[in-house]
Amino acid sequence: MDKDIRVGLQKLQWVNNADTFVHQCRGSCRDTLRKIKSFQEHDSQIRHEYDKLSITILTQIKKQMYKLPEFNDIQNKELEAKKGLFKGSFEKIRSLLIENYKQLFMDHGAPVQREWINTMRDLDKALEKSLKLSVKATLLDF
Amino acid sequence: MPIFTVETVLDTSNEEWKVCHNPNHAQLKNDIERLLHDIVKATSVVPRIEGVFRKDRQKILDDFRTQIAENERSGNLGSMPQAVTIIMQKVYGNNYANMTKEEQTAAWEKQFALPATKSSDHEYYDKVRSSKDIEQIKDHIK
Repeated sequence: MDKDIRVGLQKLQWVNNADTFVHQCRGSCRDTLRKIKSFQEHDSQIRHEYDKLSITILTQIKKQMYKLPEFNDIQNKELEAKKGLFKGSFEKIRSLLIENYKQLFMDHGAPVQREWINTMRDLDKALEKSLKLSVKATLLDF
Repeated sequence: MPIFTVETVLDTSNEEWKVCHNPNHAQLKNDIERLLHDIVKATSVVPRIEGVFRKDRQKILDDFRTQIAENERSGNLGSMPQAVTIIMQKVYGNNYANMTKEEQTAAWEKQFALPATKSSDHEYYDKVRSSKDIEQIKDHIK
């Protein structure tokens, strides 16, 4: 977009075609907006997965009479199901991130790559927090 | 909170009726401890995002390099997918053909260098397991 706008920031000559400049800028802005919207949509889906993980209770404990083997069996099945949910959410987050990266940041220079890694680290911290919240909520559910 | 049974043996020959814990205390404690361990362990199915992202990104970059090398061998550098052409332009400009293999590798590595992984970046499971909050709740349940 910078490249397209730069043309208009220089002195225009009578031979310059202002219409072409405006059309190019509009096209470029539209393209940028589409990329931003796509990024925001993916980011919102990622945050949604984080929220889903943080409220996941990993066991199914009710206030009722249990036989120990039956109790263990129910909890093991529930844990396996929730592990599947964790894996599914992670794969979704992973594919959204790589899609964002490929579409928007991959071909940029070192400063952008550094910033992207910082973003990854922030997401790492947020995911760690979500998993902790899930475990904590599960333990408090005992 | 789960409830487990305590049974009394109706023994007319004995004034002190025998109380049977079902399951017994040791077994119940053992199984609960195992369940607590399994709850925290469930987070181990989620790997760190940054690590997975680095691997995914490397796979894409390796794929691009393979495509460039194959197209160069067959003399079809002009007919590569657009994404690869953009990357090539960013990395080598118009000098690809004039560069030695070493210069090509150096230009590629310069473009795609990432900051090193932090030594403190353990998997989520390790962080959740060693979290003080989680330890406290587990001790309380035990």
